[in-house]
Amino acid sequence: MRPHLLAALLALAACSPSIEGPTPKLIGTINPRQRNATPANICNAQGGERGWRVELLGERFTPIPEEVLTGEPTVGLPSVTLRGPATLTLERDRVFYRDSGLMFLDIPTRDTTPPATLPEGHYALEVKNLGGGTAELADLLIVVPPPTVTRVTAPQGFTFNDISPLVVEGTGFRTDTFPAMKLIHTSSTEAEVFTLTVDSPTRISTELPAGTPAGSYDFVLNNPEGCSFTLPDALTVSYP
Amino acid sequence: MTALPVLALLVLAQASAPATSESEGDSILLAPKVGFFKSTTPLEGAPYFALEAGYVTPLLHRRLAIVLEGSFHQPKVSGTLRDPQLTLGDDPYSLTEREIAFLLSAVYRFEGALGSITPYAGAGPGLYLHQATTQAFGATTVEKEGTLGFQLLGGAELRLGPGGLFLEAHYHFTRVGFLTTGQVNVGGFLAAGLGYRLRL
Repeated sequence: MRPHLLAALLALAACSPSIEGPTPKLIGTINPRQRNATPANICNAQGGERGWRVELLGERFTPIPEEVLTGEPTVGLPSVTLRGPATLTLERDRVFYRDSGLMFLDIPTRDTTPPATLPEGHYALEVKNLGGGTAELADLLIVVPPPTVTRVTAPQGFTFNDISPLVVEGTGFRTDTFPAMKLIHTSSTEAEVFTLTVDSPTRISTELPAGTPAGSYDFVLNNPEGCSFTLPDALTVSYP
Repeated sequence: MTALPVLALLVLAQASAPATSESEGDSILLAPKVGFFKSTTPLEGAPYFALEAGYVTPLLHRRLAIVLEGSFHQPKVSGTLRDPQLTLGDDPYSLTEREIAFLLSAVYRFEGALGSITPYAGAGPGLYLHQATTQAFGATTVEKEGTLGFQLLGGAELRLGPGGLFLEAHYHFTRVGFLTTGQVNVGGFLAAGLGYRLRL
């Protein structure tokens, strides 16, 4: 190669912008409401204004200072993107940095401000250190729908001195979990109802405890990842 | 700006003056120099090291020199990052901006204008190689970029031995666009650059 060409190439290489920094590594996610479930399940509805918080575990998460010489320095947080049935890059204010091994993510839902539509399914997470590399790990988040309850019935009627089998019908039930359920009497007293089995995504078998007072009850179902549903006047308990 | 007409008059007066005592054999200039550089940005001041090689051309009665200077300085800045997204609170950072520059300047030397003292002034383009190293959150990030810029320089040289002792000042204009620095001119002023210029 001719010397002047080599010099030109070297000069070009010297002038090319480049950035080098740590490449993150992803380990897993945790939903704080359901710490033993991995990967984390997240409901795509409700969650208040901020959405549902998820803990993202990894290594070498590295923010960088930005605009240090032009004014008040800012923090360039790692960029987090969900990739699955839909793709969503989290806004900056939804990413919180604790240390190089832990970040908190506020996952938006259709009910947050602003809303975000995340179809059900498995999502990969991609984390990019602005000053370094990018890591992606598949199936790190499972987006699930909120439950709905359409009907609560007592197929065998009610017995005051014994348990009374109940059937809960609806959608969004998950066979791998035990949702928390309760009945709220019109007098505001509450009675826990314990799940026997989640038969299918649309049916739960449970039972009414013995000695439950007669009257009209609202029925509340809470899925472990956070979403809940209340069916008003779902059940009228009466004894023969 | 008021200095420009004065400089122009000096150049005109010098151009018509007879050549000085330097012989044709004294055309090569070689000068190490040290100084203190302060950027116009929040970067702290830092020592400046350079090596200059020049050629005194036959033009303008041997008062025009073409000078190539290789320089190095490495200023730093440090501080604290505050952001509500940092759950453990403030975090310190430091940024070191290393600059290696190759400055090609046309320098007019006012030979004999002040007896044994020769004022001079010059300007020209520069290739500035920047490296910003940031340390924050327990990690190091390095950004590199080369940019073209320009420099202005002025000084005075006192004839001493086979060359001259000189004191000079620079202004450098060189922009960078790093994430860490932002889009900014990291150039600034070389104040009190001191060296010895050998004539060969």
